[in-house]
Amino acid sequence: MARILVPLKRVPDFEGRLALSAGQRSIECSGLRWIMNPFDEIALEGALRLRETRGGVEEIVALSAGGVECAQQLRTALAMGADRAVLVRCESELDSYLTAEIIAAVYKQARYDMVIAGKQAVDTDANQTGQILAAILGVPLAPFASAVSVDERWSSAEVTCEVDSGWETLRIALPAVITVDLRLNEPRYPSLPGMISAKMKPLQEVPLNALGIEYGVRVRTRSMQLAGKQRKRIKVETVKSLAHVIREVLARQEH
Amino acid sequence: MILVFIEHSGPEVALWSRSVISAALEAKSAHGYRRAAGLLVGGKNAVLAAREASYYGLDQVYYIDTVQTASHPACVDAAVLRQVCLRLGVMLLLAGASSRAKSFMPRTAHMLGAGMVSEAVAFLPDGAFRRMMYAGSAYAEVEVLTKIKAATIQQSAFAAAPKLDAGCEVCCLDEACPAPLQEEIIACSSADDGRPELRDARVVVSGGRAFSNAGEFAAHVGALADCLGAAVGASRSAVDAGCAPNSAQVGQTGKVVSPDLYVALGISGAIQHLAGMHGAKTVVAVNSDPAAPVFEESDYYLVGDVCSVVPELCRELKSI
Repeated sequence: MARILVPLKRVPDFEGRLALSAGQRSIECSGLRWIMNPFDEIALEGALRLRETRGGVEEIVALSAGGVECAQQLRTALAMGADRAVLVRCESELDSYLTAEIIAAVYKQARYDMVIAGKQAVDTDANQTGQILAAILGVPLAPFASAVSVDERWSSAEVTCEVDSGWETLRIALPAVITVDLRLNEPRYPSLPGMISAKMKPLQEVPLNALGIEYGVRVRTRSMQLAGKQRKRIKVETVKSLAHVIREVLARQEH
Repeated sequence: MILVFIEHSGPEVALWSRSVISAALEAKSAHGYRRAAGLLVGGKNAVLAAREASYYGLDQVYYIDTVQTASHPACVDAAVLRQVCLRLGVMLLLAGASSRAKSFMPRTAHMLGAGMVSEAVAFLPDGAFRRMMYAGSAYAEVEVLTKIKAATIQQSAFAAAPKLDAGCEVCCLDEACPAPLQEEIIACSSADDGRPELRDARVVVSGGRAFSNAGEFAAHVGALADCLGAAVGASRSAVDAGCAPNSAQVGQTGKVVSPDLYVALGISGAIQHLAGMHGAKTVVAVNSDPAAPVFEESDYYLVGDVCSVVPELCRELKSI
């Protein structure tokens, strides 16, 4: 029977309303709504569908790292259908490397057949954790998945990956790390019975220092600045004048 | 020294790799490295592309021509690159932000014990890097705390290195292809539509959810693109709706473009899409909603239904 580990990140839903904190080192968090990273939600849905369609899944474990508030997103994962959750408690800033080390430490506590996660978190946009995890564990990687199928014995997987020019299908032995892209699926909403049963499912808290990780972050954010480009915002009234604008812009660029 | 992983298609150096070469030359002076070299990995075309790559201002170009197929899995690049970095004593490893480099760079960086910056846009004089976060809403200054450092480069932030009259030395490395392979490519497709490559295009025409299906999208976005010799882009929602392939997606989770002209057709302007078009010199938007957020991010905009505007616009453009 297979075990699937789904790491997930709590991220702010910041559409259009980003402000910086007083120290200019991070964003102002007060007033923001917090969600499960949308790509991780797709990864969890992918794991749930493998259980429903392929079968042979003993356990789907959701994992997050951070403050006690991350339990909220883990409860959502349990309500969607994960069997149990692990919250690695730490208050300090994590980079992709340390996040991957945390996932690797939890992976080593049980025999997992697959780690499936979002390709990137929509706050820091690094797109590194899954790749580093594969390198730490020394297992195959299938990044940016838009389709995943697993053989009956859970010994190998065929994963269609989004690439710049289209797609490519990778065959990989399991255990492996898969990171998922947008088109893998549309995640379900937690059902009411799901939300009720989520309260009964185990959510284990583990302090970071209990994992035996020796090193700290490799990349540190020292300051932030809001970006923004002032555009001209000139309203054009007719299609004819729009055509002239386009011709002028192109003529200007040629010189 | 700095090593740039240079991607090539056949004997041609990828245009985005020339932006990475520019970035390497900037890093060389800003961060104080003595040399900047390039590396190409592939089969027999690697030597041809390496010769071309030698003309863009690097101090040396290395190539490995023993990796037989151009479409080898990214795990090969990860392992080969690690060997080369150790052999040459590389302290800063750079690559583009292609899907391939995104797959192997974090792995190689980890194998070298290096911290990695994703999609750097600048090298600061004190050794730090600048990159975008939060879908392009914020710049972050980041420090890499490891001795060996790695970064992918945001192509839109660096102009492609110009071709010089003289080339640098080109040198063959004999690193073996590592076995066994962890990943095997068993099928692939290309969404090549005969138009310019999206990341490299001078003009991009993108479509959003205003188009109800793939046929309508192609008939309008494709037609205007062909009229302007442009690449076709799409918003995430247009891709989700099946109107355009994922390889055309512009935005935080798709491609970042930096054309001279970006035409947004029926795109509302979600922040995650804007992240992909910040680098455009001029933005033109057409949308039927007078309050569309995309207008805030446009230089010129027209309120109107894209399905009636586009055919008329094509006619007008042809008549000028």
